[in-house]
Amino acid sequence: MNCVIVDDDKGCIDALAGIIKVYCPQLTILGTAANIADAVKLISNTAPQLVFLDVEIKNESGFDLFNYFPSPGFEVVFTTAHEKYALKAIKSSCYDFLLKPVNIPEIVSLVSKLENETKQNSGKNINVLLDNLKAKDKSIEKIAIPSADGYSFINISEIISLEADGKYTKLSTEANNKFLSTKNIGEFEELLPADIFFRAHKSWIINLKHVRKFLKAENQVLLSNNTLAEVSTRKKDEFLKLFERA
Amino acid sequence: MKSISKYFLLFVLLICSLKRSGAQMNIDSLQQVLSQTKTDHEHLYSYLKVLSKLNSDENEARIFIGDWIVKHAKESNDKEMLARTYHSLGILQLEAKNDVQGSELLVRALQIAESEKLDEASCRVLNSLGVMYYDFKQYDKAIKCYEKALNLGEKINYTKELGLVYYNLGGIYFETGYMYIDTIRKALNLCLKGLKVVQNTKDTSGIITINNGISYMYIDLGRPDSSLLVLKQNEQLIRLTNDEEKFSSHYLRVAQVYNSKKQYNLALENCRTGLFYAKKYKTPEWEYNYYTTMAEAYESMGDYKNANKYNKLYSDVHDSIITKENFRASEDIQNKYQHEKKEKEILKLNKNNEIQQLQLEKSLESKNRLTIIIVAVVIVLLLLAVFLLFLIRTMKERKKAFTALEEKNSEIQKQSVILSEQAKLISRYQSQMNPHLIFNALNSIQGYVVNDDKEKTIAQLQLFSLLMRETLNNSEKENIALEQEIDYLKTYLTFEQEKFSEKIDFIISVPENAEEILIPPMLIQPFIENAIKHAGFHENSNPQIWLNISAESELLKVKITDNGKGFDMNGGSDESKPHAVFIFHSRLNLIFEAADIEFREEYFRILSRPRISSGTEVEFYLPLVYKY
Repeated sequence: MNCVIVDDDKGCIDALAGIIKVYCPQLTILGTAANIADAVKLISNTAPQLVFLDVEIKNESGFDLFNYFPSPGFEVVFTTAHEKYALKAIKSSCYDFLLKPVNIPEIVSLVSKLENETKQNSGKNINVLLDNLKAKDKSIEKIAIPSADGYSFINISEIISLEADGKYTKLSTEANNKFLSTKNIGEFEELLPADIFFRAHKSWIINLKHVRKFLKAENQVLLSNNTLAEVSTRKKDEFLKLFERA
Repeated sequence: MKSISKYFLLFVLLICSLKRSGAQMNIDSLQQVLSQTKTDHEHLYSYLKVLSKLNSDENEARIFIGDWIVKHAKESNDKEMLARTYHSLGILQLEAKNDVQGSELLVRALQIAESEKLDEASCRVLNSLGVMYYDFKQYDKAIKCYEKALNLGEKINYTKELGLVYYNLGGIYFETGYMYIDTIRKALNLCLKGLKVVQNTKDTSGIITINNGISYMYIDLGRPDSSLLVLKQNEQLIRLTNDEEKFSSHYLRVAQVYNSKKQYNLALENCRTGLFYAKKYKTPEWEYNYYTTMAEAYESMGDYKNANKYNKLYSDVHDSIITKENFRASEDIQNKYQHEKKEKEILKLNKNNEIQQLQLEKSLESKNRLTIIIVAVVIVLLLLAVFLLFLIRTMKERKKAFTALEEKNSEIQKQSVILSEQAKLISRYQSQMNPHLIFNALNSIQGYVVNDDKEKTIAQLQLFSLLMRETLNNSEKENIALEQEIDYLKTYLTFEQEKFSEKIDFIISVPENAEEILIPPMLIQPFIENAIKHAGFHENSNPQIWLNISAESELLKVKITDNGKGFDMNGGSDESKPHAVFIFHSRLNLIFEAADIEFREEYFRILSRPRISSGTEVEFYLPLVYKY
């Protein structure tokens, strides 16, 4: 497999290149670029299979690269030091990322994962990521759920509820579809906007727009798809207060 | 697409024709426009906006639009729209002195708003009803309405209207109780409250109105200088918002204050400035007020000649207004006649045009259509550009006005900010990593580099970046899951462990549901750091740190124990108590205060050798908070 590195910081490029040479020797580095213009030239000339792309490039954004490659024929791994908002969008869209300074076991397992994934099969969608970045109020619009044959992209407004299932999470959507995600419910809680989604219980996140009825005696809510979700006793008051105002 | 652009064009033309004609509006053409307009919520709403933007000399058109909206709102059972429209029509009728109709409409609007639980609409209507009763001099009823509006507004935090409600209520107290200092103070407080609200919502004209009212109250409270200060603010605001017309009344207030301060020359000067604006904007009702104020000033100065002159000017203008009002009725009739004449001419012209067009259309149909579309697009774009420019300009001006105002307010706010900052600082301080730790870490990493120990360098760097990341993330949060904090502490200890040849035993016992318990971040870490630093582990063959966390009714007990040589942080006088302990104490206090639990001294204690058999023991309690 071959790759290029795009980063405006020479130190970061040297560190990543050094680690790749020692710990991921199967990965050939075709070149490096410090800005988007150079990156566009480099990628066009070398056609790499993988691009390590820094999110924060001086006066630019790493995401600008996709203005030139609207349907990229390469895998992307985003690198970032400390950028929470972009990270949320990247996570929601199921793109891979590395935090700088790079953790060696992490990059080793990521590279071997990417080698096993065939390019056509990855099914990631750069537009979903770009839409999420553009979403209002530092929120996200769509969420990618890995499935057997690629990814399902779900508008978060269509999600009715999320229920913990061991370490996995079950999602129910408006179209009466059910999805099982390998992310745990806590990760979803961090990604989904808190003004729409309410963590009602240890194992439940509910979309407030789909609440139909609160069953007092059972401490449960009836959702629009007739699912009953639990509300913990400690969350009951907070939950009811949300509806007092409306 | 076609219908939308058609509608939009009609809408634009409608507004243009309204703006241009000014005085009168052709009802027939309005009818034509409305009959082609969709009657969904958005369209009704945009016309309601048009209705409220028109001037009182276009009442016929306003009522026509209002009735049209009412009709369609009833059809689609759009109760909110109905209440809003009744409200607008009611105000309109009251302005036109149709008191009975106006009050009926407002009451109807209120009934709908209340039965539909439209709190914002109810608040607005109640405020208008209050103004109406105030105008009818039924002050007790007005007060009731304002109070109701106030309660409602506060309940739903309806800042857009609240400022004016406070002001109105304050104004009425002032009006009805101007002999009683207490009532005026009450009024002033209400107005100041209102001022705060409009300042927050950046409603400039609201600020000007309320400031104006406040300036009256200051005078009656015997504080003319405060009054002048407020008026100066208003002067700046008016200038910055380019709303010169307001000057026609503004300088009258200033002059009156100077009169009361016996600074007659300044009063006269302000009167002259005000007169200039009153004349420029043709507001004789202010003009004659200036004359009488000038007459007063001259009289007090003993200049009876000038006093006489201005008294005469006053009665001249005053009389002419009354005569003018008598004439208005006949003018109306004349206007109507001329209007109808014009209509007929237009009709004729239209017919001629139609014939010409029919001839032209045959040959130029396709070409024409294209040009019409292009022209329409260009017009729409131009209008949009003009609108945008206008928007940008007003926004810039507003910004200017507020920076000026904010500068003044900032001084007062600064103090409260300093106080709250201090509280924040205390809590922040603890949630930051000790800077010593950061530099010690960098130092030890440097050591590994010098000794060419690549593996250790990388391992330490990664632990350090993990710690830094967690610290930064956590410092923004008020609470994190106990489980997360424990993970953090483990990482921290692994990081510190590198410096010791002996392995430190870190023995943790936490409640089973650690993921469900919330605690403030970075509370425990300093004590672990302390345990490592002061416990003298280097001489200890079996260094151990115990962390015991347990739930005790509504509290969470945290106990950190080590088997080091002991370090007495409680010893000595208060001054010598380590700074960190003092800060921890105040932070704990703040945490209990926020949870509304009384903080007791026994909730935090540090014991050390020789009081206990080995090492140091730190024990503190936290309010027990669950996540779910």
